[in-house]
Amino acid sequence: MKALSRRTVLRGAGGVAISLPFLDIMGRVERASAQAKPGYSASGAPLRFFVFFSPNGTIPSAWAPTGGLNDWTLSRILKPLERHKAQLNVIQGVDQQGGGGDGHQNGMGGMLTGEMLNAGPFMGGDGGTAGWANGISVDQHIAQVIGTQTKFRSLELSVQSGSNGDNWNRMSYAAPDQPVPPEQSPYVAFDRIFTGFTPSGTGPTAADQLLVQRRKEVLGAAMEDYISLNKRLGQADREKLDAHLTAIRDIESRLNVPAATSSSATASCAVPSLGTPLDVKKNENFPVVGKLQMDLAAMALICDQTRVASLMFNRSVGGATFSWLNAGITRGHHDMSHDGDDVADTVEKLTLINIWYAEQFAYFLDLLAKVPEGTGTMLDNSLVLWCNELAKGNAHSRTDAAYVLAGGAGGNLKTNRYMQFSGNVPHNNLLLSLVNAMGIPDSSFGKADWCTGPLSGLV
Amino acid sequence: MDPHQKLFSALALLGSVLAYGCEAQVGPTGSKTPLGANGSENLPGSSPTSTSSTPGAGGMLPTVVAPTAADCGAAKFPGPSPIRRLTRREYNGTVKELLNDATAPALGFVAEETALGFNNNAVALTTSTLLVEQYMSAAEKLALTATADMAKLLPCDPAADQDGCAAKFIADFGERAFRRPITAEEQTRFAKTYQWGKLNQDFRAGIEMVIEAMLQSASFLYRAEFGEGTPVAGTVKLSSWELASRLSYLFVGSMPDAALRTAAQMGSLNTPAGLATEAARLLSDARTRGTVADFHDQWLGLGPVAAIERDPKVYAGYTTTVPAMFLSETRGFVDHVFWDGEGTVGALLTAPYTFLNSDLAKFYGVADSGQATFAKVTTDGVKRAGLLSQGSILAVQAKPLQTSPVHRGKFVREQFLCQLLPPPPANLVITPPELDPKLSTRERFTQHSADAACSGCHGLMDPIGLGFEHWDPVGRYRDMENGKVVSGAGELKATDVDGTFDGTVELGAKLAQSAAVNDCVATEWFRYAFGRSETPEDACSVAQLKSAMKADNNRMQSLLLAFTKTDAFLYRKAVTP
Repeated sequence: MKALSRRTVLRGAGGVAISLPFLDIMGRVERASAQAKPGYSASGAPLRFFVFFSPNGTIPSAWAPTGGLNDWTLSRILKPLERHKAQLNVIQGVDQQGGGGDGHQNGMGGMLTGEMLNAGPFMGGDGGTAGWANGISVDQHIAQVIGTQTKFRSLELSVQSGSNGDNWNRMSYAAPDQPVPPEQSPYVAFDRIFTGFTPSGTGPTAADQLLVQRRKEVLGAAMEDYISLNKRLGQADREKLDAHLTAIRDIESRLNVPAATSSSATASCAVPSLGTPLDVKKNENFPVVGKLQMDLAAMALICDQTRVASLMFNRSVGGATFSWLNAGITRGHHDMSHDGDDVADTVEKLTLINIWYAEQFAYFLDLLAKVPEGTGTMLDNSLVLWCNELAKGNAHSRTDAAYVLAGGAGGNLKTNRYMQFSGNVPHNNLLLSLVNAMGIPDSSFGKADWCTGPLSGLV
Repeated sequence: MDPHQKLFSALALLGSVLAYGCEAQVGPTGSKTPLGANGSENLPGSSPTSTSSTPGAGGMLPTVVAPTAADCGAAKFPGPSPIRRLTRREYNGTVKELLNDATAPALGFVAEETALGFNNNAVALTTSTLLVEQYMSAAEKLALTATADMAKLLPCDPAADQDGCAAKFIADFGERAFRRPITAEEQTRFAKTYQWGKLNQDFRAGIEMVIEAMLQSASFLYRAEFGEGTPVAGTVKLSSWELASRLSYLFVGSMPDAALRTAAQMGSLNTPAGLATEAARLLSDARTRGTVADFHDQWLGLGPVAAIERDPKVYAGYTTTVPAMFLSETRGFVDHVFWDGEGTVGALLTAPYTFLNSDLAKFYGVADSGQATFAKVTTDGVKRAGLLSQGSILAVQAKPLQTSPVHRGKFVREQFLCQLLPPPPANLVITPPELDPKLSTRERFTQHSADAACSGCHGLMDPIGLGFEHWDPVGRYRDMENGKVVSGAGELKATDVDGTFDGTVELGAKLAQSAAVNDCVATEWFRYAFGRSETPEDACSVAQLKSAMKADNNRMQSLLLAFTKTDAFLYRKAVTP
């Protein structure tokens, strides 16, 4: 069968600029990103973007692969990703930008925003203070473009990210000073994503429709109060209420979105079962909660409830004790990450911790890779970023930070590469390339003087 | 405006202070935090009148002049009054009063952002779609429950006149939900919501939707204040309804109750005597104990105590029930000192008693009362006295396998002396002294402090923290560590009670003598009570608080009453939209 060109389809549809269902009939076509709509592959498959975070730096010597661009070998830490090697881009030598607070705060705030932290009241490691990041994060920026068709523009999940909100446990930002909090409980997240959801896509019942109308009416009345008060308030207060009003508007505008939309991947959609509830804050439950959150995030993508999601394991300065590794670990991760390079026992344990994170990352990729979509899998049409707020924990350094990308972004990315960069390559360039890989033709991301163009050769 | 200035502007001074090194920052004449330990430095005799630009809640304000003592009293200096969102605790308290619903739905909400140790800092709180969704679900559940018994909910019988009764409900419920009489515009708005529900479903749905809409309105979730009357020098007095809300949330952490609403209606809060009557009544309200407990939980950093994990193979007898017992001890102690005991900051630091049950007494290895419930027990006053010998603080400021003189010292300096310490230099490889079974913690940290790169700041933390060495990482007293005799020798520097001490009982006694410590507690309370950092403009209010406490023999209860007499409480800047 001769593959249809995207243009033919568009013409056939009357050129209406709405989201097109993924037409399996087209099969795989030549990569033609210039013609593809942002957020879709050239063949019309929806693209997904996912951020996977692990904290406190890695052990660079055990993390860096060996070899060259196309002829490379996974490192000890990345070995669990062997089965997905053909889908990877391992990026070495890029320097994570950030500033305004302590090392962890700068890393966490700058990691996805490529921005400075503003001044603010959050206590750093030993007493300094800093605020929120001064810009939108890459996931939220992508979501603004590709997240318009789904029930959720994006979903943010975490595992034991702490009971306080501060710039150590927020990595996503909707705008400057507008952190996006993650949901720590898979049970709460489940209710949010799947309550009232039927994977068969039979359409909303009359009761569902009534509820939508009711909520619109109620939210409309509530919004009037924000608008009315805002006419009388001073500027700083108005900004607070404006942010609130924007969030209500966002929810209100999504009430009508059908439960499941377009992708052929939704054939694999099934409401997950979480099993017996357990204490999500307990250290020993960390791995189970992580798996549940990954299952939920993957299913939210598969069921097309969202196309952008993230999962934060622990948080910057996270002190999870990796007792389940049975490696004699009795100290918290962050505490250990401060030990010097000459403490061999700690270096080995930190390596094991990062290997565990690689295993989790591999597990998440499995979930996407087993979902058929078009002639490939959902992972082919995804871009999954694994990042860390620091390069080395004991130095609080962010130069030569550890980034792993998985998935081909619908053919926009070549894969199975080990890309090494030298000199001062700011990570804003990587963030810009991620945006470009999702089909969004921006030319800069984050703080302008930290972005010198797309990361050479990635997209 | 540069967002850098836009947010947290009240802390601008703090940021500049941190640019100095440790020595300059906490030197005896140096500025600490804005009106920190030496808050009087903005008063005459110690520093010239300073100016700063403060974009406060009322919009961008002109350059303000920090008042001097001579200015206080005549002119009013309210400082900024940013709009405050209900915290989770306040949301739960409010729906308890409003709907008699004790399900505490806010427990599942996104946690507040925490600034300067407190979760109610108005400028730090942010909104997300997740939180707004949670408000929506909570409102729907609350409304569903509330309308189950319409006879109880409604102020009238709808059988005769449904629409008339709904209108009455909107006015009546609205006044309580919004903590002020609702406007004609609002009456119309919610009548429309009610009509939609009635037409598309039924009468109950209409009422339910009114509740849902009100509970998601800004007027419910936030405390918007405008003041009333003609501005004098840009300052207005708060209206009686606004004062009623301020009083109620300050003391009981909930919306005004019936008596307070009546007082607001009658205008009796507009006189000092009327306000004092209500303040005194609220001080004795049982719910105020909850507020005081919440303050101490946050001030003393008790949040993470519940999650302390220790290896029972290393610490015999340590079980997962110990953290909860630590909390019961400290909460019981604080509650007693504040309400039933001496009531002073000094007593928090020196009281020769604590609250134990049999299990915790056994865990500590002290005399066991044999009782399952927590009760007041006398301590020896030599090893144990006050907060600084309690497991909650000792364990949370320690590490799983070793104590942390750094964290313990930092805790004292920040929480009791209100002195912030700068972070370590960027890209410094920090290698804390390794565990060495042949060395004591003190020996290991002596090496640490000898490093010039560290000793500047650590010289201010470690010598205090080393005075805690008799307390192991689970808060148990020890005389030996790794075969070495433990010493409790410590030293306070750059304070108003400098000098050496032996152990935490002596440390507590020294701190109890410090004017800076008493002032610091007043400053911490100010941050909690007003949901913001103090600014130079607050010099009069802060001085008033500190002198009120001094006049009452440093009793902390006097602070709560003193708040209601400050400019920061009674006035606000006129709003310029």
